[in-house]
Amino acid sequence: MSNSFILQVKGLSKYYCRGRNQNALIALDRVSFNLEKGKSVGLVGKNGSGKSTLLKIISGIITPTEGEVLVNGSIISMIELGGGMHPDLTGRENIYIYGALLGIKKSTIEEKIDSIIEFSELEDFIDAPMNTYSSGMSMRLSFSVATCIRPDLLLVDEVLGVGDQRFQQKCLKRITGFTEAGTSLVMVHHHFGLIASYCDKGMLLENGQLKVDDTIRKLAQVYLRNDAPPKTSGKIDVSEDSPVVSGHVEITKVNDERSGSFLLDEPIYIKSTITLKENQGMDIVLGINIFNNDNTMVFPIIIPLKTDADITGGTILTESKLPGNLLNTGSYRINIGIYSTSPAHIMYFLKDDVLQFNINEDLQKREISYLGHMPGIVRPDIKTRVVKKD
Amino acid sequence: MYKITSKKSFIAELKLIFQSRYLFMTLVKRNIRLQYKNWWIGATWAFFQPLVLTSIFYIFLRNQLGNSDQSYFIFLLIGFSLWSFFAGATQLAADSFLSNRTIIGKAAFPLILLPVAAVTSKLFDLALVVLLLLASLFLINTDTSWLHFTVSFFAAVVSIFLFAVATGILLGLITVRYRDVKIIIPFLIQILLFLTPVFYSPEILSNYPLANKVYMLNPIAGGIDLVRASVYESASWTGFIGSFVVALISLFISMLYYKAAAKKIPDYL
Repeated sequence: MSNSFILQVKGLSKYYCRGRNQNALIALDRVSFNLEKGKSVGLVGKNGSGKSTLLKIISGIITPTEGEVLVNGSIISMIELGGGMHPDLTGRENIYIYGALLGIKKSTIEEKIDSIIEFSELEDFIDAPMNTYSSGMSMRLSFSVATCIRPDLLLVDEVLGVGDQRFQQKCLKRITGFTEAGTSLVMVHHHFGLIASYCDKGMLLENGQLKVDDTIRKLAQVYLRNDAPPKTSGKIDVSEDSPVVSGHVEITKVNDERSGSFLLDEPIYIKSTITLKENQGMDIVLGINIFNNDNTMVFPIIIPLKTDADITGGTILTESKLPGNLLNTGSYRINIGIYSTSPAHIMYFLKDDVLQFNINEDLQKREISYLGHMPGIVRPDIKTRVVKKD
Repeated sequence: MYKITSKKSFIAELKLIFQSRYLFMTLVKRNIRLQYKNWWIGATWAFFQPLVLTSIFYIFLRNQLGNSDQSYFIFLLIGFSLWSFFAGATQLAADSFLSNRTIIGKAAFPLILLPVAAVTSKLFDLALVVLLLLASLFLINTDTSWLHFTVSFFAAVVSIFLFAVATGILLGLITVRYRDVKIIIPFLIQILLFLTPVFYSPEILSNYPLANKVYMLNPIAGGIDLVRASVYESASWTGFIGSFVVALISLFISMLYYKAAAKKIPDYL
């Protein structure tokens, strides 16, 4: 039965020794999996989880410490595209060198050289030294060389961000052509949607261990979870001149239970307890600013802290409810500010990342087959009615 | 179908090296292209180095180190042309892993091709210098047996080539592991220049037969001596064969070290 597999990985481990008295760094820890001919696998994991090490071992660049890899067919690896080109030589000369490095036969390169240049769209620059190329241009050239023949197994490491949007589409089209003709892909990419559309199964590496080797849907459920460490409560620091004596904020679910992890349709409660000094007619305001992963402020919640007659001071409890189906999935950080708006605008307290929470989605509830991250800042539950259907 | 394990068999490695001959030729061509990017500067440099060294020593040390029977100019030119080949090749080979780190991490190929290609590409420089040497021999009009000279020169180049590959691989592997070694390589090569009869005659040691024998085991010394002798008299091959064996032994040692250390090169780069 072994012939039905294009790739078999058995008990693969890789240790890096760092100096004499340090423990070995475990890059891969007993990874085993099989890939059937014509099927493709997507590999995800955090930086340093061992994805690149695994690809480099499969392509034969680095030697494993233990275990073995069996490749049943021709293989091309596209790892760190564009880096292997020599800047002092021309594009044309580099085509020959890079092709030879990838193990492509001389006759093949000579036969394909025109189509390589044509695909890279670098006809006008091909006899200029590579140091005149932009990084996008050298990546385009490397991609064209690496894909000039169809291999049985293609290793793709984050390389589909080649050139502009239009060229990326062209690259993806070429890869689709390969997979339709029977090429298997091992694909590493941070864009989950791309993996979901190209691969038949997915694998998740975590600290060198293979955590998931399953369908894309299963992988999506584990991988797309936002599990940044939540901070469910925080303190407001006080200073001499601050009108605040003490302050505290927290996030809870509807049942008052402190939590940093919510589902899309769950409401989120942000509660604050603030004790104010006796103040001299100032308008004190509490600002709760919600930032998403891209550091965009999604919206602020501005709460006026009114005490009785603004004189005596005292403790105020607030509760802000963020409705469900408001924020998109992702990790959110809250920064807290306390300032006066009248008579003068003075900032008494401002601190980033006082609270953190994550919003996840139950993928079983999605009505479409796309399982990647939904774009957008908000995720309202828009009801759509089909008005007419022919 | 191919298999990757933690151990590579020697036969499989040899097979892979043989299969990579096109890559090898490409690497050699690339090295030459890089040096002769501006071909006249590269070519001038290839001539210049042995010629300038020869001229300086000829002008200043002719009376101290020259041998009255032989032309000191030819003597020096043979010494420095073979020496320049060895020094240039060793240095390029010793640096070949580090300077090619960008391609080592991106493609799978037998890494030994890099130092061997480096040494091979330096043969091109040597070929240019040989033209100079032949011209000088014609001008000075020695009654050299050309057949003898050609055979001796070829044998000397083979021996020095193997020795340069051996030292290049060893130094290259050590530099990958301990980067600081890179700084002392030029110094080591310079020391070896003084320990080799490049600009003086090995007869300096003729009063100490044992020391002289050990001294002539140096493959560069053996090679230079053989070529020099072939210009003026029938060379004795016995001394050369000893140094050739040393070249083979050093190559064997470097191969053993390569086999042990090669699979870790990408880890250190």
